[in-house]
Amino acid sequence: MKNSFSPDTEGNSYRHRHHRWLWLAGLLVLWELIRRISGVNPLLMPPLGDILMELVHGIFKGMLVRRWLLSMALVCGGLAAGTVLAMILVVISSTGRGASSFLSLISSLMHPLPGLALLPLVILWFGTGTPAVLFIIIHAVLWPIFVNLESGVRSLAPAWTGYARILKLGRWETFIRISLPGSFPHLISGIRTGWARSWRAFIAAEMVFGAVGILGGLGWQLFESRVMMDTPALYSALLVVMLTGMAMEEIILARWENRVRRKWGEPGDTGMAAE
Amino acid sequence: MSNRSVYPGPAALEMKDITRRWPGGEPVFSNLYLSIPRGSICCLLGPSGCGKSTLLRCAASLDTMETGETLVSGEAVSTPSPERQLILQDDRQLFPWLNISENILFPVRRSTAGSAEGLLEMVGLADSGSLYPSQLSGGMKQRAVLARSLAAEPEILLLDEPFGALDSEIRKRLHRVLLDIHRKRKLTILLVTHDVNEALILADTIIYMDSSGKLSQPEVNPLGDERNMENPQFFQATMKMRKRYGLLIG
Amino acid sequence: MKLIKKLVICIIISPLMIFFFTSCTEDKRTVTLAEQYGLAYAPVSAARLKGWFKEEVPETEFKWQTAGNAATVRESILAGKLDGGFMGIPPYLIGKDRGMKWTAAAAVARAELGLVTVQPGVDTLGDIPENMRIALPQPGSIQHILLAMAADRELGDAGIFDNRLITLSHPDGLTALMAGTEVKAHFTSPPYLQKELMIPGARLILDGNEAFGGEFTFIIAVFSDDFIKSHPEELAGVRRAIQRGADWLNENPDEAAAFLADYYRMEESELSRIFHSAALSYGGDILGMEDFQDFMLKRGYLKNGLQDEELILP
Repeated sequence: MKNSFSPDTEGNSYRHRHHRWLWLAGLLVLWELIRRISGVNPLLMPPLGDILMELVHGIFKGMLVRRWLLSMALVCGGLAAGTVLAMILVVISSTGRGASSFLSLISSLMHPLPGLALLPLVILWFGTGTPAVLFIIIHAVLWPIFVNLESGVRSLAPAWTGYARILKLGRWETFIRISLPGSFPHLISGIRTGWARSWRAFIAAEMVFGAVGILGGLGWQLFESRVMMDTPALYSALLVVMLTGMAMEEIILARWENRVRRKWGEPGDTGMAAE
Repeated sequence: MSNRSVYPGPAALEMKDITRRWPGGEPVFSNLYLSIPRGSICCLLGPSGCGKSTLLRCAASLDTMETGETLVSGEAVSTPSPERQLILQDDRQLFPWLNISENILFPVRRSTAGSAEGLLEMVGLADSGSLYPSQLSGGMKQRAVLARSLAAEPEILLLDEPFGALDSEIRKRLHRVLLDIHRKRKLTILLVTHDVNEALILADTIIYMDSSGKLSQPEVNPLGDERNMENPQFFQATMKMRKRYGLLIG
Repeated sequence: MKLIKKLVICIIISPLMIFFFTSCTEDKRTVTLAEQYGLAYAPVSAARLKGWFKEEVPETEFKWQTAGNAATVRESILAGKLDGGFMGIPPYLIGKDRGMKWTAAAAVARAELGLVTVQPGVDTLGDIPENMRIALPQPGSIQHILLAMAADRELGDAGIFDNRLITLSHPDGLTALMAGTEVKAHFTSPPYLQKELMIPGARLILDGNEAFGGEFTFIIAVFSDDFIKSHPEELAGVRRAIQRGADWLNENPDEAAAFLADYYRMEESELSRIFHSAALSYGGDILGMEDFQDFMLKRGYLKNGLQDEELILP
């Protein structure tokens, strides 16, 4: 029997999404209205047309696509590395009370620390290139994922951990076969937070730090258009940054989380089969 | 005792002089002795909270004991092992990220597609292998858990009120499944329950644990081989047992 | 429809937002200036700390903001929150070219700028290998343009280093150079130039005047055209105060060093040495505007050429 979902929820979320596009269009219209009525300096608020032209130009002729790809590659790479690192830390933390309390101290010290605050130290340790920016990204993702994953591992069903003992699974095998998949919903929430943090950290790092590699990413695009006073390009890059952040968060990660939760039967477990 | 399913040699499970305390220091039970012959079904009957679940966890070596030892086929054991499979009443024993076939083959290192099908059929879930636990009813889940423990090829099944949360029709069907498995697999079973009827239907021997954690002498099932509710002596046997242990209805 | 209702509310609110965007410093008795932190801005800081702005323009309140770089100054002037600020000639020209209504009105400082390297075997621009990174403040900064001018003159390709640049603030560039990262060269200004030349093995391979091909003003004072038009008296006073600060620094380097040591968190002796040296000199006329513009036009950083009268307030 298939797990069916109430069509009501689907209809709501559809309408909800529909509304968003309307709002977005409304915001753009409002932008243009305010600009025209107030006669504000176009260097402050360029015409919508200029921004969109710049966006199209950037995509087809400029370096926007390559910079976007570079940004995504770095952030996703950092996200993957941070996830693996968080998993290793969780396994280490499961080895005993000492390790666990030490790591929890480190994570509560590091979690609230913005990566940019570490910038002078990062330059000392990693220089200024890709490794430094990767460090900033990994710092941004590691702690939220670690904290989430660990609370996931702590809240595993006792029957699962007991079963691991009965089957005499080793530490790694228990982690890979039970703890990790068993705390997957927590892991995904961690990755969602990590994504939001790393995307922001990357853009900010590039704006303070300079381009990554020769090309630079979207943060560099923002910085460059700012210092060169290319306001339409600045807004078009901002638009790309916002839309990418939103798309990744709402379209990819949220759907992934929903799919897992649905499989686990967590929200609307309506598909109970009869004996 | 019915000798249909009892084999010679040392007891499948023997617990000697075992004591287990609450965190406060009060004993849950102390200096108990328990022996279950190979191939028999033993029901541990008792009121809730008497410590019979704790005894079962000790039998699985999941809980440590203050004194005493657990012997499996005459050899002392102190850590859990796949030969002693524990099944609980818990609704969350299966892994929600795996489908039923994958859940059942979880204890098996190298799985073959055929082995899952055989086990699914044995517990009556032949068509449900590709479903996920969230799509199953409570009875189906317990069938799957049973199949999963069989995949580990255990010698002993330790069951803690496995059918407690199910309604009586489903319960009856699962009793038949369990007895069927017992016959085919020549297993030793220790089952904890507070239900006299269930004990009379399943057990070769019945042991009563009172609320202070003391065990009665093992009692051979008075129904012999005719262990079902259609047996005219069933009602009488139930009443007798209830009376003896003070488990009156109402 | 609810949506339309909300939209109407937004439209009603929008004039308020416009007010926020365009609100100028209406009060005629207030002048708002942005100060930056660095030895080149010393005439401004000294005149402010000595109270000379108030002496030159009595009955006027001065509000001071701190800006990180020229882009911040430009954005604040554009938003009407600022009457003037201080910056290098190239960022000023870029803003003017894109339509900023502002004009240069005074020279603040000339300075010895330079490209420092710690890479052995690199003695001229031509020796810089492909994989070596050069740190400087930002694209379009005076350091960037000077490097391009030198590359154009010496190597015949102004953009040859564009792929090897890395944007770092002066202190971060100093750290990177000292830490032995892949950054092996840094185009910087006093006092970082002096500090970097003390790193073992560090040497100057290009100085600013050499790159430019003559003398030029490093930092200029720029005011919004609105302010210039509507507050001529205040403008004149501000210009006098800056020149007064500059003259005082040029004539009394020891006294100035004692006075400013705390402000710059430097040793008095070190500051005095810099004030005495040719590394910095203050005030005077704005030099090099035309040459910067010509080069930047040629290289495509600017699109419209402007006359000197439009660029520098007489």
